[in-house]
Amino acid sequence: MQKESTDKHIILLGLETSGLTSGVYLSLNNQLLAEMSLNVRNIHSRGIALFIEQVLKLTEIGYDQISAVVISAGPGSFTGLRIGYSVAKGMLHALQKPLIEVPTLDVWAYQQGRLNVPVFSFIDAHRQEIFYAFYRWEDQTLKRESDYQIMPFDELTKRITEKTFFVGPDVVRWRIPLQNSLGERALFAYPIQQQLQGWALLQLGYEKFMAGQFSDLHSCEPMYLRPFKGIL
Amino acid sequence: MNGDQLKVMTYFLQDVDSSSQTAEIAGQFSSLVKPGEVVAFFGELGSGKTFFIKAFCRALGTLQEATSPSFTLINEYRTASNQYIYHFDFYRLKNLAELQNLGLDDFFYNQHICLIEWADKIRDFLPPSRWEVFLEFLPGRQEGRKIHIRKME
Repeated sequence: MQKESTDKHIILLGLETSGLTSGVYLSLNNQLLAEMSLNVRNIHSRGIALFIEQVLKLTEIGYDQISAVVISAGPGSFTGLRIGYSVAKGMLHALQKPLIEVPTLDVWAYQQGRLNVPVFSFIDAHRQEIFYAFYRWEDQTLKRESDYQIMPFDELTKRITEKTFFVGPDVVRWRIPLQNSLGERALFAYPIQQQLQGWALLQLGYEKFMAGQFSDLHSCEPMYLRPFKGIL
Repeated sequence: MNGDQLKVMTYFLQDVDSSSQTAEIAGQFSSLVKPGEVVAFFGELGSGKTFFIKAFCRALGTLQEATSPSFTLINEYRTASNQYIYHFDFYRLKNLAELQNLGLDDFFYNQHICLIEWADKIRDFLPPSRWEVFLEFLPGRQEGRKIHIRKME
């Protein structure tokens, strides 16, 4: 793609490293142009920079043509998020372009599309806890109805009082326990759909771009949610 | 999950007289530990934690000899069956920030085996479900050790 032809266009580069998936996505004027992702353990440190290079090369878009980077901000894997943020910050510092953070739980809820029931987006936080947020669709808008929080998995069943759609990377693993304790109240997508979708990350990023909601490149950090505490 | 809800089961408790016996026990133990499990080692300096881990890794056919990661904090080994082993040594751990930077839970809740020397230094951060190996000197017996292996789950 020639430089002149994309000067007035919005080109967003999406990065996902918060969990198993290592993904790089590219949109041109809010149309998905390219996506490259792998669901392989411990791939971020080797995969993400390589994918960025390949995606830009194959679409013939130069680094300097990128309008902003949209990062999947967590919660999730500590190391994965740090790799994603390091790559994004390094790149954007050199390019002098803005960073857009999108909470990963939002992407999971959004990508499922409009639903008539509440959406419960969660990620396994280990140690029998989960990161989560509640959502509900109102007309064409997805509204978040809780803070981004952490709680013991056991408490979840007490909070779910109506039919609820569960989304997130760990739904496949938690499906049986959820069905056992919630019965027909627990609704799910197909297992194959349980991976973060680049278009959803970029769509939410695009909305923030248009609203001018950028993050401070130097002070921003991933959404870890769990404070690191204990005694050595 | 609270510690008091865990079941503790002793798998091995015996005095041994020689390092070759210790190595043999380490080798047998390696076949019990499944991918995704964590083994915490306890014992004084020189009690044979690294020695035990060397024998453990050798039995699983790691491509390189295990050495103590005293300064690097973590070593990574690959076994003959393409399994990863992460070997931690917290003897020289300086502070909480250093521990946080390791992203411990990404290692502990994964598909590989984690072996942790000086695990008592990070007791608050160990996964509740784990193996524990205790190595104790036996007075007057140079290579003699009391070996205690137990599982908490």
